[in-house]
Amino acid sequence: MSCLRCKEFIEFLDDYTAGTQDPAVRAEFERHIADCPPCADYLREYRQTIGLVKSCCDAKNAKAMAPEGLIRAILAARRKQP
Amino acid sequence: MDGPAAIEPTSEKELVERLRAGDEGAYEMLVREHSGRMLAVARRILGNDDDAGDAVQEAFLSAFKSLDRFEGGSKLSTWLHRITVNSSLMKLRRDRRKPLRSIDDLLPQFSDAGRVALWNPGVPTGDEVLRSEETRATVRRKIDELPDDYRIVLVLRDIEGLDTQQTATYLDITPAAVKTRLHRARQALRTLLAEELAS
Repeated sequence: MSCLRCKEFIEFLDDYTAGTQDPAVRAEFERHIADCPPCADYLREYRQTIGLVKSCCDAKNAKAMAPEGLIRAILAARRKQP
Repeated sequence: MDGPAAIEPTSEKELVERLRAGDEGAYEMLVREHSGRMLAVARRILGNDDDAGDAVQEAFLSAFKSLDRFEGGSKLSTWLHRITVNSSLMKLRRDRRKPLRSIDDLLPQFSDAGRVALWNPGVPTGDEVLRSEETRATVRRKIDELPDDYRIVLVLRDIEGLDTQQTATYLDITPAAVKTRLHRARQALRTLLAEELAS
């Protein structure tokens, strides 16, 4: 059994996925993943969640046009600006 | 598009000069060009169309008032994005929502020995799942269900693409708090998606 507990693994998962860990700590994480199928599954799903967020809410593919009513309201409000 | 397209400026610098001169056509061009993306940003932060529309209107009015302070060091779109995020965050603070569920209910559970308890069913994946409009709508809806303090960090970091320091500055919290909230938001979203998409 890995000496790293699941709780510690999960708490520092963000650093692991970002690749910002010290190499020795990273090696311990990888030993834990090899020994602990539930944490390996959790890591995979954590990454999938990040991927889902990015692919389902892609800021670059947002609709180009706002509703006409909003555009007109903004322009009307501007004309009233002091 | 009539009118504004016929007087399209040759550069952003020229557009800014026309805005500063009070050119009505330039204002219309600016609003038509940028309001869609600004609305999408505000919608992601505020979670609904009505509040997002209000935030975009406030953002434009704020931008119009501070046009003299736009120095051209960044693109207009970047400047307007920043103003929209600020306007949306101000509105979010004013109209803070009560979360549907505590973040703690959505985080992993452990035994006393620190070993993992049973995870929820997994998050489905695959190209077909990702392409499904239903899945996309579900992901957006589940993001909206996250408590505001966590959702906003997820939106700014993972969707708007801000880095940890920029997010910390916007929210007036420490970079360490940004990292903690982002991690918890991702974990909580994983739980919400697993509950919904696996059923």
